[in-house]
Amino acid sequence: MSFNEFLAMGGYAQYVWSSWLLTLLVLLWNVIAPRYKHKKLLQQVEIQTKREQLKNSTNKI
Amino acid sequence: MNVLLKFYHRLGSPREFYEISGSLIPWFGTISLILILTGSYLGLVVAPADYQQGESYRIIYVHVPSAWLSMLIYTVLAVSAMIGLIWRMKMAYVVMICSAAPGAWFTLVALITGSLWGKPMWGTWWQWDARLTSELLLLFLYIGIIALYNSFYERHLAEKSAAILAVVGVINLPIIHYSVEWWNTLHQGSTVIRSDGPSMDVRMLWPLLIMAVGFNFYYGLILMLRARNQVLIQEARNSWVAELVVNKGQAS
Amino acid sequence: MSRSNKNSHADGSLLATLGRLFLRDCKHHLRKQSDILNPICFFVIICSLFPLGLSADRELLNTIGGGIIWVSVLLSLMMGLNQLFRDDYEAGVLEQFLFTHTSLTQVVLAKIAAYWCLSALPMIILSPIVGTAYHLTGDQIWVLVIGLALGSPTLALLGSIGSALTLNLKNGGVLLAILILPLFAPVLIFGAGMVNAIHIGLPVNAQLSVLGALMFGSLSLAPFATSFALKNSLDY
Repeated sequence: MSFNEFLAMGGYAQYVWSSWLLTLLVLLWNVIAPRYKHKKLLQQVEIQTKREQLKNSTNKI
Repeated sequence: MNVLLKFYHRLGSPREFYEISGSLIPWFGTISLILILTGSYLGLVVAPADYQQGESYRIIYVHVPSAWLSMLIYTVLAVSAMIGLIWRMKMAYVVMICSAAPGAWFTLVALITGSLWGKPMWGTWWQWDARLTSELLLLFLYIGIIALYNSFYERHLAEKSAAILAVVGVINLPIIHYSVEWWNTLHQGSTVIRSDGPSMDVRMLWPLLIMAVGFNFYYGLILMLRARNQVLIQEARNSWVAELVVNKGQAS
Repeated sequence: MSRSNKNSHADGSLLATLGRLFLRDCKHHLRKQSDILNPICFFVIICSLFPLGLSADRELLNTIGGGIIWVSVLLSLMMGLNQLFRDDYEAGVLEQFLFTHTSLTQVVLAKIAAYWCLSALPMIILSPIVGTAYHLTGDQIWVLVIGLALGSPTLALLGSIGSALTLNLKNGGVLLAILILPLFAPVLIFGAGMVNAIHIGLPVNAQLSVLGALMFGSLSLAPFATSFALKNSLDY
């Protein structure tokens, strides 16, 4: 079986490949999106803690 | 048993969950990646073409695992909703709400790939086939749970309301499924092509099973990723979260 | 049972309490006539719009009539469900029920019964007229009426859960439809299926039994789910 034959999927290329591509995109998106959000959340917490530290130190003075 | 119970209780604490899942995520990621890649190779290249459907049947390797997973996720969602309602466990609600979106995604994938398979096989994008129709109603149930959860400001109200709906849904789901099946036999007769026959070729079956297991590990992975975010949001005011960030900052 | 006996011993039996609550709700609904009339008008209007959108073909209307009337009933009942607990909630009456010894499940049952009598029953009575307009045969109309009578309590009971869940939400109406309409699918399938089945001469016993089973099943489970959801919405 040649590579072109493999790509052609016996004439069903559009259906087979679009299904697989869609699944791949959904799988990737569902990993990337929460990871990105995780990063953002950690940044937020960091800003929040720094702000509170600053507030505490100014209060002491 | 004692060890298991202890592990269960540790997972019940958001902080412990955050730490344990952090070390589990790489494992789940690797295992699901290996399984899905192996399954894809076996399914796309090694498995022979179907004698009736030709190469188009290869959609099965993404369609069926997604459909199975969509049902498994609803079960997980409903069971964790019940645990949350009965034992008021914080993490149960986290698991519940973090399962809803992946469930909806996989239901959608199962529907679209089903329709892409239906076009060459049935000659139409959409057939009111029993399984496709129940899958569509399942998608509506997922959307309902997500919409209800998102419409509350107070999280404890949102969690409990979504949990009640999830339990009501899981009682209704078998009724919906059987009624749709009954309706389908009345309307469609045997026009639905069932070519997968009683026994599948082993070379076709193995990739499917490998993909299905890979998808389950993948669900575990994204569930943990989402649950960790949810824990961070819920516990943002607790000192351990601040410590976590500080420690991470020092380490890097 | 023991609980209801205990708290209703002063003012009669369980049935008397239910009856009093039922009459109270009926009176309330009758005072606000638009609450009852609007869904019924809505039902008749949707049913008369379909032939305009499709065609006046006798055969076609006969085939689709059962389904259209059923779907219209679903949608019209949905409209009123949004208001099921709202007035009592806004007036603070629901909270008072929580503090008195009346069990919330009884209140829910009485409310659903009153709602059914004033919303679903008029539609069931009107359905033969609408059915005639769709050229349904006599048998089909009988089956339609019996199906609606058996199926609409299930709809009201399931709908009450959604109504209780969306009680304190501002835009509860659309959300309620999203939550509850998928759960209505089995009732619709069996109810509308019967109307078509009798026309081809198929027996409808199975569908009737299923509709009855669904009604008793939801009657025994839904009131508890609804009162649980109400307590949650009241943050009690």
